[in-house]
Amino acid sequence: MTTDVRSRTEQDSHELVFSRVFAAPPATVFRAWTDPDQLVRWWGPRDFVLTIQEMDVRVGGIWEYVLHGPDGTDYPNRAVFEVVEPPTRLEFLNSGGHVSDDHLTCRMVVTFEDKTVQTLVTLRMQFETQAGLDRARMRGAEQGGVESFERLVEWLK
Amino acid sequence: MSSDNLSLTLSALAHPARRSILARLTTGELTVAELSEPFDMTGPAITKHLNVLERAGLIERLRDAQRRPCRLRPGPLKDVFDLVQPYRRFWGESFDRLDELLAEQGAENDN
Repeated sequence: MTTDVRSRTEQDSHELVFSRVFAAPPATVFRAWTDPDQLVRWWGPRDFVLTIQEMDVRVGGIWEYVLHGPDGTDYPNRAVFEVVEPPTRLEFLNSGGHVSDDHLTCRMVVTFEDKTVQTLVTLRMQFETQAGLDRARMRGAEQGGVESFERLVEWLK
Repeated sequence: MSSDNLSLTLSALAHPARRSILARLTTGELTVAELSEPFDMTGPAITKHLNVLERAGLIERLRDAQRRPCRLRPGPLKDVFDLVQPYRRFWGESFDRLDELLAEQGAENDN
């Protein structure tokens, strides 16, 4: 399976969208997103390690975690759950702990769609529009979904 | 690249016709007439888009006698690509790992 990455700009909302179909039912995939023991086994790039300090999966609950980069840099994050609807929907407001990590500050909207023994997971990273930097990033990212731009990117690699 | 240059690149990319022009230029140099062909657009309209792209440093117009073909200058696009790439890598690799975890669980359940 490939991870489709695309984004769109809808009025003032700026989001990056990532989708993939997983070979498990929604309840199983939803658990993998909300069980700390499972999350630490997959969240982040392969050379990153995840530590979860706190994870209270309910509306208003806090999720504090640190991603440890391969170069020794720690990326602390704090999230607040806003929608918890197993096994179909999960939303949390994520904040990067570093001043320089404001590109990590966004609302994550994850949907789990039943595709008969499979689940289509769609993750939307919705960024604040007032942050000029994020706006710039998202406007750049917007091009990622355009076929012509994809061709350019392939060509640039 | 300064953020101002990046803004210039991004605003130049914020039009489907200009993205299409850039995509077509990845195959090689093209004249204004050749670039106009697939568009229901007048020559001046195309030229306007080309001027925006040229100001953003995304294309150059060659002084090749009468033809003055356009050539892609991909440098600024690399900076845009670099902005997006970390997210693609993060979720691409995370989803690969989640896929593997779910496969392991499926195998355990089958036993």
